Amino acid sequence: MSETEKSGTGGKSSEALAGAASTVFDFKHAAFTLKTCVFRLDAQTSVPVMIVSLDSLHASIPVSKLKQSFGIDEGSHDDKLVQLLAKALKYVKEIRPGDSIPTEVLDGKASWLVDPKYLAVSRAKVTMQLVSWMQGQAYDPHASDAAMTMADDPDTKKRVQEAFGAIAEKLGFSHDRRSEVVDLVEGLCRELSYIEALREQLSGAARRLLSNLKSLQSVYGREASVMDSILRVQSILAKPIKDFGAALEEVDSGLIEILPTLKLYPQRVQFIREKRDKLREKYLLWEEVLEMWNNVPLELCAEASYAIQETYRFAASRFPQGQKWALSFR
Amino acid sequence: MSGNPNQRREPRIPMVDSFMLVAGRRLQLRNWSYSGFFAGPIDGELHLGRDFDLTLELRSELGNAEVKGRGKLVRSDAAGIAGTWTLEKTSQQAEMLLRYFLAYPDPSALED
Repeated sequence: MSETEKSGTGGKSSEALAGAASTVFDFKHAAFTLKTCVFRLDAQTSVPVMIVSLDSLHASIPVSKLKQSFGIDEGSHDDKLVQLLAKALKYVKEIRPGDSIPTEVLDGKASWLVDPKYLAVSRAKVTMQLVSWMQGQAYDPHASDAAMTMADDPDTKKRVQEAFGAIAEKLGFSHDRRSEVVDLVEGLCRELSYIEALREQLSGAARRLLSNLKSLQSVYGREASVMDSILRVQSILAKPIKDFGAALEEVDSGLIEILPTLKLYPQRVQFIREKRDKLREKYLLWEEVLEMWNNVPLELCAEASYAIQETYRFAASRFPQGQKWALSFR
Repeated sequence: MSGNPNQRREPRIPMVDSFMLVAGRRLQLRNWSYSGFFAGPIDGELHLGRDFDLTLELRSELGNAEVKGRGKLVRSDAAGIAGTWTLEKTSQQAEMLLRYFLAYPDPSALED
């Protein structure tokens, strides 16, 4: 298996890679040298825009207009970078000229870091998959607490070592290539650590938000307008939050058997990264509102009232009633 | 009301969803150019001196912009106010961006 296959970059578009001759947004056109130039998604429309703030002029220009309006030549260095902006803004909140191009765009790897605890969770789960496979038992992806406990068990570690040898044989590797299986498993754990982080930071945090709102229902029972906001927010956000869980379930189901996962490693890594990137894009959208709820007292107070109103504003603007929820996990 | 566009040195750009903030009021910006404007109608009374601060809120397919400037009143009636204006703080970059919203900029304006 080549390094390219291992890294799972086979699925990235040639268009994106062609534009990535540079690894930074090193624009050449003078328009991008404005000190205050920054690229973001428009807060209302989510369209990528270039924002420029000068003394008496604040402007927001759609990225799609830049090429035509600034006379950027087709196929030029700047044209390729402008084309990458929309892709890149799925992974970072803002880009300034001179910033690095997110690695998701360049080679598919994540440009963000996860806490080591999520790597520990993914290792424990993969360990239990290996043990289940050795014992001919079905693996339960939901038993993460049990996995964390059992993964440290000396007997489990011994079985994992046996599993490496058995899997090497099943994959048709010679005995001296057993270490390649170890590398594959470690690579899989690293890829899945991002999913574990998103499981907690996005899906888990969003479910806690709903739970907090439910708790505040009893607190704000006599405040009709606040109560109305709480109920509306719960109604609007229930579906997107459910979709986060469904997307994670899809990842779990798609990787439930360890041997096929390792046999089709590049394809499986690509699958994980696609799900990771879509969830990460949603996380960036939700990050502010989820973080806001970290320290909100669940009692009748100004902070709780503010959090409810801000969450309602977020829900109403991002998920207008009557509009189909745009998150598509395919 | 806003004069014959063909007689102007700077062609006026008609606007649909843009506004002018002046004296605490938000008037619909009907048309504007690099040096002139016409905004209205005016509901009720609007007291303006000959010179006044203004903010243009521009919205079009080219993007959005908020521009602070200084206005000079030429004519005022129920249909609106018409006058001339200049950027509050001007610079080559600000002028270039302003011209972008009037059409498309001349890239050479940015070259030093």
